[in-house]
Amino acid sequence: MAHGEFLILLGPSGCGKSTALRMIAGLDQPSSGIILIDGADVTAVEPQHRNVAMVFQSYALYPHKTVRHNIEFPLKNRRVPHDERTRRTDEAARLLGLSDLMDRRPGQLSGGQRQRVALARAIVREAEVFLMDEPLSNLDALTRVHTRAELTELHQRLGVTIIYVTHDQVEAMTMGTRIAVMDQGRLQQVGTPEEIYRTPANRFVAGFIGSPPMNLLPATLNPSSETNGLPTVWIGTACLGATSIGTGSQAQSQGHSQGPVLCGIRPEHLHRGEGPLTAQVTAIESLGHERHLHCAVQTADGPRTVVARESMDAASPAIGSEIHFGASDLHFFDPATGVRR
Amino acid sequence: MAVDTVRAHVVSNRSSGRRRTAGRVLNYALLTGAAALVLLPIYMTLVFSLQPGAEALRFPQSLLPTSVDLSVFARVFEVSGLWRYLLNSAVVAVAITIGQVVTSIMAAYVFAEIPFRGRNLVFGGFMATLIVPTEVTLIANYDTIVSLGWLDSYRGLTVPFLATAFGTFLLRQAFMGIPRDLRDAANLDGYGHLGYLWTVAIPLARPSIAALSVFSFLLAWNQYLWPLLITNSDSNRTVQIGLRSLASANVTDFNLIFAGTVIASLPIFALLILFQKHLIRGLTSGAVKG
Repeated sequence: MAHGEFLILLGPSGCGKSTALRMIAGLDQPSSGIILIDGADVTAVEPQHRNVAMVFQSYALYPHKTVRHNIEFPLKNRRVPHDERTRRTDEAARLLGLSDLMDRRPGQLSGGQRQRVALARAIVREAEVFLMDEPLSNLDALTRVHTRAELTELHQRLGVTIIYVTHDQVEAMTMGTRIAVMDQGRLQQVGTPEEIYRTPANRFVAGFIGSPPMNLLPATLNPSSETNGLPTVWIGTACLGATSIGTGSQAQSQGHSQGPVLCGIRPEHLHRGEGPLTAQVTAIESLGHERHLHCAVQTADGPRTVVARESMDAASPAIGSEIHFGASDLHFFDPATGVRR
Repeated sequence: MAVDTVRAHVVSNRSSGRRRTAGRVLNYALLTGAAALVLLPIYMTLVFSLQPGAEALRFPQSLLPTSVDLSVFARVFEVSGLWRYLLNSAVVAVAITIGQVVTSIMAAYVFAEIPFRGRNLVFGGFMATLIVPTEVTLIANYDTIVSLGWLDSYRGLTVPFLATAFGTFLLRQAFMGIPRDLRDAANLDGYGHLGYLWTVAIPLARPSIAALSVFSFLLAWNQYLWPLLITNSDSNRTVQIGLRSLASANVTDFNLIFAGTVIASLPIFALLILFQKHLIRGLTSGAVKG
């Protein structure tokens, strides 16, 4: 990970992202492997000597200390001279708009204010790496949006390296310069938010990123003489057209150009109108600016539900009615391994 | 129809309100009775100390003093070495309290925060000592004190009581109630075990520590059997033993004995009044989350 990067560790609950963060902090020991910070192996280094600062999900503010004492607490033990300590504490407080709250205790602060105190306590350290463990998850929706923007701005202003753990993909997509997607303790993909969204490395990433997530349907690739040798994609009895997937010589020799695949279609890439895919509307969700259509599609493995996203400008279909979809930007995954083809 | 419903509602409200008041009256009556039962001996001690000694033998006994004679409180200091006894008790109780609080904090922290092989077993052993009555260890402790040459000394009075399983348990619960994130945060902020203990854990466990201090002081101040066993000179006797000798020397001067008792209990009352808030909070902390 590069200096000044804002890396997001994203994954469902229990996937090991917080554990990974705690291992970087030195609070938990890895059973194997090493941890390098700035090229130095810190695996056996005590947390207090790693020069990392952490913001906890619970904020972990000391309830018996005032805001000022909470912020300057890390400096006290490092024997920073009194004047400098005060200067740095005031600076961090000013940066986060806490100057008027310095004599209050955490119990007298709102969730957002507490969160800012926790951030100030991390900033005042001037640490090499900032670790944040779901710091926004205890905030209400409005404060979360506000604090998200503040954090991004703070990262740009300070140019610090941040590792940020979240299970909220909106946070991940909007804040991170890169995202590392994790599942069951394994790293699934690392890339920019756009790469993760546009070219998911496997079935898990495809299904996890995006709201609503990508539709994954069992499909078949059939060789066709009518499409210049390109295989055609079939979902059930519907042919979605030809695809350039698996046309390389290596792919062909591995048999990737034909046979069963898992076909991924993002909800925004299902276009209602004249198309090969026939579906029956089972539910409609209106979000004000857009509409999600839940539909049953017949596949080779029986009926599957797909979600299509469309503008509210289009006339809404009736529940139970039969509609047709065309599809673009198809993704293909190996049905056995889930790896992208 | 609607009016009937409202009326029924009002009537049912009124009857449930009446039931609640009756319940409260019964509660307070029971509490007052229990309080009177506890306070009566203390009150009568005060009454007996204020009136001439012979009055204590009168039957039926009056609840108010027949006459008030405050000079008895000065006389009790003249006829006995009460000052010395009080001083001895204070030294012993303060030393035991400080010892118990310090050792309990150390042991409790280890049991709460530092994992090691067999920790639960050692803690179980610690707790098992709670079920052993003091009297059982009396002879063994006495033997040890004699072999150390600590008979009739402050050391003999204090050292056997410098550690307590109850205190360790109480503070362990308090330390375990502190969120794990605070320990981790302090760790990342550069504080090791001692730094965290001193700057975070102890301040947060203050109610429990205050409760333990009051209890330790109370038990040490009221000790009778052990000081009686190992002290034989006036210069080392504690106040409870002093009261006993006062009683045997002044069999007829009941008011003198009661005045001594009143004086000996004053520090305990002062402590209880000062710390009652901490005492209740400390003993119930950890009982419920929040």
